[in-house]
Amino acid sequence: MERWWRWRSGSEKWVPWLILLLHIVSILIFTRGFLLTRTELPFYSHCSDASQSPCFSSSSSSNSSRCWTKPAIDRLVIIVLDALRFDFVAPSTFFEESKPWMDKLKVIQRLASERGSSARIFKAIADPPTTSLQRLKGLTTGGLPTFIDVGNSFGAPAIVEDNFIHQVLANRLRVVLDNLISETQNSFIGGRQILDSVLIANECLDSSLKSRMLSVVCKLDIEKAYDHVNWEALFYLLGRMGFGLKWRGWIKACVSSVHFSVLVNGSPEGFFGSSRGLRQGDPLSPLLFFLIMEVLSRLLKKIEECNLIRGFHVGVVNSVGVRISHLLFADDAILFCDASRDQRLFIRVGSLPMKYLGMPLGTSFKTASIWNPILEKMEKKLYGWKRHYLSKGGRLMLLKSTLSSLPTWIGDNTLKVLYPKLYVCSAVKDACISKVLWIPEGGTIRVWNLRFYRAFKDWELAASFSLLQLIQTRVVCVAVMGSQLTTFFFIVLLPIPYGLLCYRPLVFIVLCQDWWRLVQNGKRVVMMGDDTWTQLFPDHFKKSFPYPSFNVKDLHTVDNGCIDHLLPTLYEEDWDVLIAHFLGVDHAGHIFGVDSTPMIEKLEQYNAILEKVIEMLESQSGPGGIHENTLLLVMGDHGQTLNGDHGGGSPEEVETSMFAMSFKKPTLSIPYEFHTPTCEQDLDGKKFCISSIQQLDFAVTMTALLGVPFPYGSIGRVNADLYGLVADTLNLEDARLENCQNQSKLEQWMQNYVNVLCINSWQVKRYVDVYSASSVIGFSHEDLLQIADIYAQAEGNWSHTKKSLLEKNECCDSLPALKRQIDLYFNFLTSFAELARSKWTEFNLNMMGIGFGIMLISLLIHFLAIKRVNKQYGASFTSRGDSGISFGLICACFVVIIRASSFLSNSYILEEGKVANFLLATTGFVKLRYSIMKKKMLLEAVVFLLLITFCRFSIEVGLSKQAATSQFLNESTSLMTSIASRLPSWTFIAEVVPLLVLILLAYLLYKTISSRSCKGIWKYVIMGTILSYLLIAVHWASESSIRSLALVSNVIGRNCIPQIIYTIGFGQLLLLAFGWQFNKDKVLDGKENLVIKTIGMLSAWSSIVILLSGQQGPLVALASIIGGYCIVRLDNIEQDAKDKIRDVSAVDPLSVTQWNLLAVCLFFCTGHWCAFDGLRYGAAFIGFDEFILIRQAILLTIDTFGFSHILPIFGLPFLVACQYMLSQKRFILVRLSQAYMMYGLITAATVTVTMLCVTIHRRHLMVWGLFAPKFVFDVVGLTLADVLICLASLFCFGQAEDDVPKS
Amino acid sequence: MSTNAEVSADADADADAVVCVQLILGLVLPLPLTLFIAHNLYSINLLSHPSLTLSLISVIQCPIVLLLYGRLRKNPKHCSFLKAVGRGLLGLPIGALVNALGAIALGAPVGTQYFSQTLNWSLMMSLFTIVPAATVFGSSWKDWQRIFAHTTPMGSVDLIICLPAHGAVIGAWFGAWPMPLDWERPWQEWPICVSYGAMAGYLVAMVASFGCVAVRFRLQHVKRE
Repeated sequence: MERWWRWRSGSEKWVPWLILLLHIVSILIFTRGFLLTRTELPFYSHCSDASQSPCFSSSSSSNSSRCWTKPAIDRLVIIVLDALRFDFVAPSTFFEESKPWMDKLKVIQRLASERGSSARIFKAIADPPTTSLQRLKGLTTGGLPTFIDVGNSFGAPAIVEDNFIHQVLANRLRVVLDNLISETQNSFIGGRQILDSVLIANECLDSSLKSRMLSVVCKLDIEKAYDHVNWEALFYLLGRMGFGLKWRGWIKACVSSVHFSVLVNGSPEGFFGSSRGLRQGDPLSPLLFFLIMEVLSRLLKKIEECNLIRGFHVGVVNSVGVRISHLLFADDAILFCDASRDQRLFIRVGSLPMKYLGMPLGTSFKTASIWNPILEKMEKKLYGWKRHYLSKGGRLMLLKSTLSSLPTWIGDNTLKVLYPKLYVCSAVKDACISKVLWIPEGGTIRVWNLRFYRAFKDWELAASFSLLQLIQTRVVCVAVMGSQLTTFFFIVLLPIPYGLLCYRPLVFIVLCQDWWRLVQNGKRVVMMGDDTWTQLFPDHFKKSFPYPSFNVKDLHTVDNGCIDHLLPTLYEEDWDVLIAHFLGVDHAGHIFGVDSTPMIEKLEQYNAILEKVIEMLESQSGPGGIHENTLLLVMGDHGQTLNGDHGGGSPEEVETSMFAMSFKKPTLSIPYEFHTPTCEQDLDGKKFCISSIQQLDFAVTMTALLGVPFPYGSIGRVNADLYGLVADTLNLEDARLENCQNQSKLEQWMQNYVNVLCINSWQVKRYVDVYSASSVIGFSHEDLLQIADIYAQAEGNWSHTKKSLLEKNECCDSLPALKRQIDLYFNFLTSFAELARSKWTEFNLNMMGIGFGIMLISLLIHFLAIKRVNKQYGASFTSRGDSGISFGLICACFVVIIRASSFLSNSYILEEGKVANFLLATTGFVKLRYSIMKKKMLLEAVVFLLLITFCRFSIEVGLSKQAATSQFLNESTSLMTSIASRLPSWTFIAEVVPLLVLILLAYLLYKTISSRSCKGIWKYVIMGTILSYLLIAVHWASESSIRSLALVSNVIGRNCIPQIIYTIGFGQLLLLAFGWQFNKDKVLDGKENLVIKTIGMLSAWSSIVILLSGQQGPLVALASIIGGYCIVRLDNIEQDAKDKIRDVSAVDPLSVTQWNLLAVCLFFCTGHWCAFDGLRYGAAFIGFDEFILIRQAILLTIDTFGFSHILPIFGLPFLVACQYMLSQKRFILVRLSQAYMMYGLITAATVTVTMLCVTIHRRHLMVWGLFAPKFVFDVVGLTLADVLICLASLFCFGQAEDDVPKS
Repeated sequence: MSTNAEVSADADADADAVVCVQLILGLVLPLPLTLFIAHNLYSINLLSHPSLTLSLISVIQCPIVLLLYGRLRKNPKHCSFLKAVGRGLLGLPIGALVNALGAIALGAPVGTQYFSQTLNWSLMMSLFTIVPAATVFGSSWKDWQRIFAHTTPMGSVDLIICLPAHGAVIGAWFGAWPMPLDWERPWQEWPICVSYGAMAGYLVAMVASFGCVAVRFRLQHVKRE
């Protein structure tokens, strides 16, 4: 008998482990095939990054603000026609037969045919899934669809990866900053210049000296200013300045995502984070730093207001003047105040004149010669500039472009006409820029000297300012257009009135670097149409006219909105990128299909609009017009099938078209040498060619054209045809070009293009390296090696070619070399794009099938194991081996099957909590019927139903939270607190009720240890839990907002108590795991023993789970105790009532199902749902302030699955132990293992159906938003459940093996 | 004697069966009729005015149910027709309460805007389930238990109470299934599809019970012959 028992218990023990193993294998295989994981990197490209690339010659790499490519277009108009099929745009001759919907967009075809060099139709090929959301994401980031954005906040709809819009985006902080920062801060703010500070400082000193009052000038040097910025202070400050929550979130992400890496032997070694300070060189940093400095400024102002100090009185005329107490330029601060005894500070005393911002300060205001050193410096700089930076060709280019665009004082009389008043008082009447600026061979630089023989009168001020502005803007033009120089100085000597009162000749310097920043970051984006954009880019747009895209039946709202705003906006000048997203074709397709009158009407409507738009742009495209250098793009984001469907990867859905038109005629047309275009005769019999472009390439090509850095994660390549359409990509800028004047234009262009490709390849390579270094699931080693190999080959060849081109001094035969170079870069970019596609976008159906198959096998094994146990059990203990199909079994199967099949529908997944509750209530009613039948335990049945009703309401609260996005989530974690936020009287109840319930729970435990024959370690474990409960109560009381409850001061610390509780819990678990070995002496019957063990285990877990769940914890714990109790009791009625012999044959499957459903309901009751934003991140930081991945992940897991997995599984023995008739240990244990297997089977069955569901819906619109998160949650839950079942069986059976031989 | 008693019992059964047939016809017909009238006379339907239509159904169904089931009352000698109708009327609000609580436990929406719908729906459900039993059995707990817990109907009267009541409940249960789907159809609202389900279940069960009664009748006659 004993041997038999041993064999049998052994055979049972391996089942859970085997199942666990099978599940893990199956999940791993399936996940490898299904989860197309791409980590979103939190990095952004910056202008200055390009200097690390090998694409610039060493002399130019020192210029930090030279951006990646030279901007070729000023403005960009993107008209997105949603679901634009390729055959809507391409001439019908390209297809086998002409269909009614073809050739409707006549204007596009006409233009493409007439001006092949500046307008072209492309076949754009999208990457599936072809849904608008995914496509817009792909278009802007230049990447492939992402499944889990591991790097950033989970599941947020807004795009957080680096993208086109981000790069183009107006630096809105800078725009706002002008108003936020007081006038004393002078650096980097629009309209303020470095010289302003110096001038004002001088002015202050002068007036102080004039007034002959004793005064103090204090120059502050802030030590390591950027590195000492406290983030908390910064975020607080942003909040106080009225920046929105979302904005602050971004800034936080920008600031705190800094990672450093140390170069060891030339290669970066890992990353580490930082906890304070701003990055130097980040364009954002100075702006944020000013905000910090603003505090100092405000403080000083406050002091001044309180008359504690008095600033200098400047420009006093008739005792009216300006008071200035301090000046700031970035971290250089200077204070002015009158000298009195109490303002004396013990600091180093300096003497005048001194230097402020590199300029002399406090010299005699009468000497003009003090400016000489500065002038000398400038001249030196310009000389050096000439020598180092500007090649002959470049210089010529610069001069040509400058001189042609800058109006001269005389010459064509522009300035003279524009500023007649100033001309009158100019000292050099014949000053001509073109003459003055001419740099003779080896000569010195001359300065365009617009000297004026007298100071300006008041009425001339406006004119002089306007002249200055004109010069500034022209200089910027020069900088942008003419050269790769980043900083050069343009000196004009003229008397600038300052403070409207004092005059003196001043040096006027335009720091082009600042202007660069403004130009580079100052792009403003206007959006109209589909409101998806505003979801993806909240607050990114200067102006937006979003219209609801949801109602598919509505063909016109979005389109009419676009049409209303499109033309007026085109006439405005306050934007740089315009995006108009039309939805009519998409909606018409969805409702009527492609071959329908509404569709054709829509296309004709679009044709009319496009005609108007193009006409308008054309009229403004002359020299000086607002659309002089505009690129128009008319493009689809994806195609559609003839039925109007899209989302999948069929050619019809993937192929869309793009029409690009540049309004500046290019001087040469780029031949179709980089691809093989499809050419056909068009309707008029002319040759008509269509290029093709991958959508992947869109973002990078646009950023290259706009001259902003490429998005960090972009893996596209700059498309030659699209890039070549724009005239200004043909501009000489490279130093080498001076050597071959006779180089053909095509060669020049190709050289430029090779340079762009070089940066492009470098950027992709950087992304690959960083990605594979930081991502968990990267590329395989061989792939990486191969990619690196191709890159090295291309790079090596380029440096070789460059050298040979430079040395030979004749580059006229460089065409083949350049072509070869382009091919090499193409090879690299294409092979990486292919690799990325295969890794990131293609589901591996074989793997998914194998995984699913293994899952099915595991289900079968599970089922057979249950059967086998049943049989053995039946055969040996009962006369009849009849495991008969009872009503309970049918009911349980029915419920499980319905619940599982409900996962096949997306709406049921959304409402999973409600469905589970509905089914639980149904089983409750079945039990109620039983209890009426048996006329007992009516109370339990009714209480159970009431409990389910309670659950139901809290699930609805959870669902509403889910709908109300995560913002709500941050604020309140429970039902109680959400109500409490509205009613003050509720606050008290909400605070007190959980404490009372907690005390009640503690009391229940106390009753348990006093009543049961509870001895030894169990007693200690439970006592420990009671202690933990009390500590939790104290913790909450100390944190509560109500004074009367805050008895315990914060001295103990917020983190101390939770940590003690964790320690106690951990200790309890250790004691439970190993303690029974020291506790063999007691003799309990099996049932009692099992109950005590279970209580001990549950109580050990409960304290941690309750603490993590927050104030709803005790309530849910109480609810689960009541629910569990009811299930156990109701289980007994049936068992009891039935024939005794038969009933022992099996655990009632209905009760186990109920147990499982209750667990599912508890998951949703506690405010969780199956999405990544449903995780309660706050729980991970109870008791800890720092983030340590593993520790916090464990806490988060316990919070998420505590009530739904850990407690139910460890509590399952109750279901077995609390039955009346069984007290023999072996019966109990066999039944227990049966119960565990059933529980596991139910969980596994639902997960299997989830797997099936994600396989079916893998191309569904919501796959990343809904199905995949559900899959992840289910899979994690299943693995956890399996592990817990194994542990629980170890725990429960462990002692049994010791005990059995004795019995 | 025994044969006599048997004969009288048979006669009773026959009479019962006849009444049952009347009752089935009397109950099956009014329901579609009411919907028809509501649609054509008042131009309302379940979709446009759910609570009005439901109350109309209740108003028309109530007297028919009470009158027809009143004739089938148990122990007609001890219990007058009026008394049976009276307890049926008493059963109406109680049954409505039970049904409403059940629906809420299963997830019916709660709120002031749903109050009238839930009220009218539960009145209708009460007419389908509780009221017939209350009219026939009164407060006889044993009969109630037999019908609703054990589901072991004995005789035509039991059948005609038990089957439609279960049919209505199960129909309503299944009727709730399309509710979470995102088809955005107006009939997916509470309590429209649930009412449709309940009515359909009720009618089907009525027809089924008609069949059962007919078969029983036939069998008894065959046995007698």
